[in-house]
Amino acid sequence: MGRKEDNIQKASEIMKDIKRIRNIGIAAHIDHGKTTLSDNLIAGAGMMSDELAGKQLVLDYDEQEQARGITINAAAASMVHEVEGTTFLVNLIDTPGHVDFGGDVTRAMRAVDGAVIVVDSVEGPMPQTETVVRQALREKVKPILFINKVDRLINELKLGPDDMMKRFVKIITDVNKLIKRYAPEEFKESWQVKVETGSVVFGSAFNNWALSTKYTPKSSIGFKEVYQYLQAGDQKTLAKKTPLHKVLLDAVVHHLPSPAEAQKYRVPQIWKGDITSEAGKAMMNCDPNGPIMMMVTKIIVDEHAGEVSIGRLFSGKITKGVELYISGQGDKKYKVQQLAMMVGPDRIPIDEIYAGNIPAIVGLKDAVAGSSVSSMKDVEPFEPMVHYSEPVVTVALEAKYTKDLPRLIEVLRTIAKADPSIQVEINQETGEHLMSGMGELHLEVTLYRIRNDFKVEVDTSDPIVVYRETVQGKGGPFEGKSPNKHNKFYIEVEPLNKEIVDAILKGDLAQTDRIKDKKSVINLLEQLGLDRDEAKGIEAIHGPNILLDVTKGVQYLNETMELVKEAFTEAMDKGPLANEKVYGVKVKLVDAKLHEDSIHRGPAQVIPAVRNAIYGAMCQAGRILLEPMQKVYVDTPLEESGSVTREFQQRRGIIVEMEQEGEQSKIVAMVPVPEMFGFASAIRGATGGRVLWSTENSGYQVVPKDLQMQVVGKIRERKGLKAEPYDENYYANL
Amino acid sequence: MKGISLLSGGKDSYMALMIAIGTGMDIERTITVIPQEDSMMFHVPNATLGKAVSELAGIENVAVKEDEFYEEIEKYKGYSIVAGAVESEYQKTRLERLAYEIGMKTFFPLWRRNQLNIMHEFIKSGSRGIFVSVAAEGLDENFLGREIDEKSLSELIKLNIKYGISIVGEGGEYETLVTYNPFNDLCIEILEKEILNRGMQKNLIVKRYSVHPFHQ
Repeated sequence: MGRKEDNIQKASEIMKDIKRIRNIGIAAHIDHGKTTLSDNLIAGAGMMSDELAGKQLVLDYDEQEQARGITINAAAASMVHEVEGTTFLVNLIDTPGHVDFGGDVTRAMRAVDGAVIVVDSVEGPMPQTETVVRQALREKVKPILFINKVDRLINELKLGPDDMMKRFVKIITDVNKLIKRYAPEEFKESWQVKVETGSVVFGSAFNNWALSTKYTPKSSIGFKEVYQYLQAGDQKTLAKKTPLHKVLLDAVVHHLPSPAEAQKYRVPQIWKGDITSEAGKAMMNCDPNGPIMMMVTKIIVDEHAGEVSIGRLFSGKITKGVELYISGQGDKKYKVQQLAMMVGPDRIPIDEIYAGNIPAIVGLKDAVAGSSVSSMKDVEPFEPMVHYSEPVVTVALEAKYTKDLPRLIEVLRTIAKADPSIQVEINQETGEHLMSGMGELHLEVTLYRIRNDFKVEVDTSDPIVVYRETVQGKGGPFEGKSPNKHNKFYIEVEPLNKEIVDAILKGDLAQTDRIKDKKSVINLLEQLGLDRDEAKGIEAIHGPNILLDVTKGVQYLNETMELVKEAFTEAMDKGPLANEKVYGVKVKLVDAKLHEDSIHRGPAQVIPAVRNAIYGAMCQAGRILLEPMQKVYVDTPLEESGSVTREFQQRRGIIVEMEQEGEQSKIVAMVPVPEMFGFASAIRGATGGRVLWSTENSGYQVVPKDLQMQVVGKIRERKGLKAEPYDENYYANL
Repeated sequence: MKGISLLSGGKDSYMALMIAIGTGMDIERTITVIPQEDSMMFHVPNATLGKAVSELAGIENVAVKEDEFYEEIEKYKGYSIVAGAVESEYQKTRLERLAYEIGMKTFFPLWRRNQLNIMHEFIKSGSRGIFVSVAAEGLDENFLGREIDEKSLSELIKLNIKYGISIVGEGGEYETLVTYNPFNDLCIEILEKEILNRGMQKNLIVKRYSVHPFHQ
């Protein structure tokens, strides 16, 4: 038996003892060395050969991920690690660092209890570090800190021991500030990372060594020795004396919680069912004998097995052949055909798996990332996972050869399932498929997959920007009549204040048309600046928009409210200006007159009436188009900074930060997404490829006035609408 | 038993009338109510055609304004009043209250019957009718003037699934006009019509027509 097989054998034994399990994620800014770290951990733990680690990236198992050198999908790997004679099972979920793929990070965080935050010692915490820290803390995932690429400080920046220390202190202070800002109240202090306790680890993932004040093996070394080895250029010896996996996994085992410990405070956060119910109790106690409760966090597509659902098992024990229910799929049962643990690209078949672990299951055909899977029918599903960014770019695509059409539909379905930050829609009129993603690169990568992995030839349109619509002022009350003229709704709209918009986008206010804990939502809205009388009328939150019912004693309105909400949702998904989604609007139902007979106020009557009232009120309030913005971070040699600035200016970009550090210049600019197309090759050309850059989606901004009507016209034309948007008279006479 | 029958000219009131006759009721008269605009109780388009449809059934008709309705039916104490209500509680309970006050009986032969069966029964009877009003999400102008047949029914079924419209149009989603009665082979021929656009509601107004035997 090889070491790998031996470890798998051990793993399936430890798995039953939840105190000896750690589920962790690694989160970092792009290029801070996350995948190298993951691979060296896996190699060190004997899950792949030593030689390969650091060279062949096991977690980057898509061919193109290796080609591009960035991790696209969160894969999973289980490792066995021994601390003071006890073996532990560390389940590692790899997460992508590129913000274009932010959706995956969020999902991976749901599955884990602890996170290793990786920060490049030279660059320090970067914007995406903040994003991933925030995502982790929101899910009540406890962090430790790994300061990576310490060798660069000496080899490249030529820092002395004192400056090195100063640098570390600054990084640690910055990270702790983030933790303080985003951690849940009860953990703001206790989750601070500290050198003394060993929750901060230093090292070089690529060169396979790490150092901590606490877990460094007895035989070894302090900073002084490290400094000497580095100056001597001998990192091999360091790697032998104080190997990365040993030091870091020690810190993981000591500082990050076991599922048993973590589920006690995490379950109420991610599951809103009754904690004293059978399922609730079982999850709080991570009970393998309780009902099966699993949340699927990722679907991967295997050539042979088909779709594999990976997720976190919060309670119960899954055995091969058992039949399970999937949330939203009613009475249908799904048989667990294959059960496995993930080790990089390998699925290692096992016969059973216990609460607290990360199973990979074949057979849950209708599961998607976010599905709840249970042995109980109709059990309360897990809270939906919050997406921080929404798609900003779309391409229209069609099969090159008509015969491939059915195959293309199948492929798109599979892709959307595996990567929920990809949205696929069919344009009913033209029959073309619209695929939306987090950025140009995200779509390019996905198209590459369609062409090369799935072997479907497709033609695509130029990328299309996803715009938003909002209103400038107040509008209404506007009367909307049902087609049968028996029901009337009166609607007012106005801009929604920024505090509430942000709270919705961050996920503090959940998007829903069935508000569960109304009291706390009302209180929160009030704190965010909404008048209490208005807040009391909260009926639905959709996109960063809210629906308030401020009517008094309208008869039969209760029975009709579901339809009013449906109309609100519909109107917010397709605004009156260009059929783009609505952003930041407060919709108030101020009065209604209803037919007392319910058959006269069915969906075909109420929905158009309310929708038209909302549209009409928005016309009166002044409709405007918003464009998505991207923050672009560029690292460039000083002499090229002029070319970079010029490139931004040509793209309606605004430079927001410019910093000089030695021979390097750091430039941050805000650029409208529609101007970002082709940026990659333009900047490469302009600077001779000597820049590093990354982007982050950064909300919306009003399209300049002189461009508004032109852009609106173009969108409407593309969508096959009449060029001019309808005016308020049109809606008044419907 | 003697009866009077409310007749708008649409398929439901026509069917109720035919069923009442079929059960042996002696229908003395049909009553067509000319409603105020957007009445919740009575149907608007082509209300004046109640007379013509009544002629198809071979029964005398009287047309009254909505506010004269009570006064008119008061005359029929002891009679049964027939109406085509299918799902509208509003219509049914109001008629029942009036009938009780006056001392009449009510007969609603279509009440709570399967809507699809009602449509099939109308089509299979050999009767014919057309759509003269649409007022619902998904029902557009091209329905106006179309025959009530299996093809249009299948579209209504789809709209029922998609938008929840009532298949018989009980929520005011559409109105019909009966144009042929196979029992005495009379038909209404439309000679002049126009379309009245009221936003999402569109009406086909019959301006001139004639009633004559269909097969010579």
